Amino acid sequence: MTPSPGRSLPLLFAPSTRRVPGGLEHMRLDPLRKAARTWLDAGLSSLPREDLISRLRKALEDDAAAARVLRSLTSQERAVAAAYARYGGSVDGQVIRLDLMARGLLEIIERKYSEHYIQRQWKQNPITAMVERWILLSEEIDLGYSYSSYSYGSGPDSPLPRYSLHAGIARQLEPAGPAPWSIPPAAGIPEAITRRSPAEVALDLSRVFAYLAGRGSVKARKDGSPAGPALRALEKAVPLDEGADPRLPDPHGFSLELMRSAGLIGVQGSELVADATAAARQFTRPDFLQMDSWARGWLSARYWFDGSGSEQGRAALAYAGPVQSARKVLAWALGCLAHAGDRWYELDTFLERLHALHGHPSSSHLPYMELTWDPRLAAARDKERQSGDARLRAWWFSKEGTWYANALMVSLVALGLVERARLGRGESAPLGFRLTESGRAVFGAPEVAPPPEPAQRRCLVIQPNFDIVAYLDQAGARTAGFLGRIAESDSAHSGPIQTFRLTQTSVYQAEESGLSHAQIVEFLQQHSQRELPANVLRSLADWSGRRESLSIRSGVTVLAFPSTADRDAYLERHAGTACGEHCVLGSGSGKALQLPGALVSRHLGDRRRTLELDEQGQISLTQPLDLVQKSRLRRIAQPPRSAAIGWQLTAASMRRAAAGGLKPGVVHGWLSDHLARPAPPLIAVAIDAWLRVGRGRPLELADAVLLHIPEKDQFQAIATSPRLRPFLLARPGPGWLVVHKETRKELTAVLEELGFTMARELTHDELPAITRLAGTDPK
Amino acid sequence: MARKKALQPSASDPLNELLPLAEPTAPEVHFGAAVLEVSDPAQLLELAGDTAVRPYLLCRLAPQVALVDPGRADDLADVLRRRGHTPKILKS
Repeated sequence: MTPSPGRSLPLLFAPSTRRVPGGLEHMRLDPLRKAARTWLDAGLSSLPREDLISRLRKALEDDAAAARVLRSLTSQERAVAAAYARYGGSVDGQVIRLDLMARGLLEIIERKYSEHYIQRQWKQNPITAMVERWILLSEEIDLGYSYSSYSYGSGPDSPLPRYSLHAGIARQLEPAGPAPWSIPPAAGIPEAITRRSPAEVALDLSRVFAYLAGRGSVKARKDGSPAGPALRALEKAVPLDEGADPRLPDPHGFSLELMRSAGLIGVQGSELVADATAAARQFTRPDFLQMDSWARGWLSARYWFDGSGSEQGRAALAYAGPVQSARKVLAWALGCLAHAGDRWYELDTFLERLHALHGHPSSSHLPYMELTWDPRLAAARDKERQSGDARLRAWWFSKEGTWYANALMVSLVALGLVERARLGRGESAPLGFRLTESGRAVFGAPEVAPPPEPAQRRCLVIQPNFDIVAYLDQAGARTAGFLGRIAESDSAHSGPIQTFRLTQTSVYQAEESGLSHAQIVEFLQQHSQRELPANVLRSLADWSGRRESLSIRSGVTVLAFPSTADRDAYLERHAGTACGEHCVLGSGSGKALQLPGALVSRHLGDRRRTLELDEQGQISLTQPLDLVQKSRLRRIAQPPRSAAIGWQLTAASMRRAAAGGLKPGVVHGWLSDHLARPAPPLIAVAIDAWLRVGRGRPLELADAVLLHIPEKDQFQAIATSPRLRPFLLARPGPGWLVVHKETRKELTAVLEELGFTMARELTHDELPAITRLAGTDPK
Repeated sequence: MARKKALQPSASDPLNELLPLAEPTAPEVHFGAAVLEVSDPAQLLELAGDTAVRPYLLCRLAPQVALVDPGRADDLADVLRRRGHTPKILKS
């Protein structure tokens, strides 16, 4: 489908690119001959297998053949194809099943075999024949496709497999209009309406983005979802209004998902990284396009679930596909309602009609999670007491119906696409909803035109104390999106009038997220109801100046030369920026940046391991030091005192390192970076001791009188003797007793009297062998 | 010659004690490096004198440019922000 100029694509649009069925070369001959009767000239279906495959592939790639096949379709098949084409050709199986049923192109009949057994089957189903003739091509062979991770049963109550309309046919077919499905409008008068404007939505998202961009990145889990501590820090730093009950669960996680989908946040390794360019593009788009983009983000959210919030790991993996599919069904239903105009609907009626169209799904894969809001649907009451069809229906409302209610009345209200209200006064009045103007355009595309862009209005009052009062009812999403990036708010308060504050931090974060000083000033001047206070202008200039005066440039290549002449000679032949007397700054790692015979250090890879450390703390070099090695050694070691005594780790050098702010982990890290072999354990513990890590128990060293009793029985008798106890002090190990010094002679006399022979020399075991590590060779 | 002499660090220069000027003895290439640039050399003295910041800086490549300890540019940015600075972050 080629959209008309200026018109947007349907929300569920996914273009078909397939022309050839997967595994064509390995197909049995029967299906090949069957397809050949559609795609090849008469008589060619009996060709030998290899020729047949070759001819078929050629025809499938040919638009003229596709046009001929299109002309051969029955009117019903053509209508099915046009319905597929409405969505670009590739459609979720659950959505297309409902769509074709709503159009009367699929119909279910019930055959009653007994009182307890009713079989439901298709009265008519043109899909099977279209699949056999390769007008619809299965996407499920492709294992890379997300919907292959789970499967439904078959039969009329199951979603259709995901098929693609042949791309050559899709491009030549006029797409169908919206499916003729609707529900009666509500009669009651809406009270206590909850709604959010595009400006409020953009404001919240831009505030979350500004936080992220100011930090550059936040930690992510392995699966790409935000790490728990990072999410909690975000919640604390950027309070968001969760609105009145029912509240949106985990609005920060939702914001991150939406921005990830829109490309404002990317996953790099274990971090979520802000993309300032993408944010600048997104937040300056017209209101409708921003809303459309957030709606697409909601459809594809993988780690945030309607009604329950952020999930990680297995839950996210298991439920993301089914939840995305259910969101598409909801988007399809709202798309149908969007064409009916500006109307309020009762929630119960909507769900009842949706259920009636669904039938009883043979299996449901929506998550069994406790949802934050229970809409207490009348149709879900007494589900335990029901039986048969009534029981199935009540359970559908209890689970699927409640999930749809959470998505419709909470998630989509938070996105500003739906408004909710009580249709009448009092708590007993039915719940109702209607699509907002933006919602009608987003879900009703391409037939429903986007609302006109709000006129640019001066909606800010900027005060000399740096407070900004924003009248959001006069602001569009572009204005709000910009404001959220340059000003901060301590309050989670939402509403048409909000107060913000310009601070050095907020302006710094805005500039770090890609906005320039000139853009910020121009925005404030354009939207301020009065002239900007002079002190505000001065501070903005001062803050920007401070940022410009201190910068960290990473990913550069530094070339260092022994002399300025060498450096200048290099610059005569190569590009780069002179830096000081000896250096050139460049970027990348291209050939121009290679210097023959130079020491090469990769700051983001393995460092040069060219040092050796012995137990004396002496460091020997196997190659000359580079700037990094020399600078690090200068911090932690005593410089060479002579040609014979090189760099050395000493107590004094470590004290100096500690005084300079170096922590033990950094010192160990530096040594580990450059040592060819691990540091001797004695020096490793000495470094900790020098830097006073842990302040553990002191070592003890003193004179002692020891009694060694090699025989086990003798040792036991002496150690436990009450007569000898006054002479003994402690038992340092088996066979050994510590004797009170002053009783040495007396104990000797007693033991000799008892018949023991006393020797004056101690015999003991050898010390354990010395481990031969780097620098510990005992020679 | 006079210009060169003026740039010779004096032994009593506190900045040279804290953050010496790089004096390579052989050609070197450092890939993926990070540098800290300031508009005024006095800023480097202020930063190098701060023991929370100094471990992240290795040496000066120029009077206004310091080489950042490998792999720790992001940590340096965090420390600077925590200490009230507003560094401009540039990634090549």
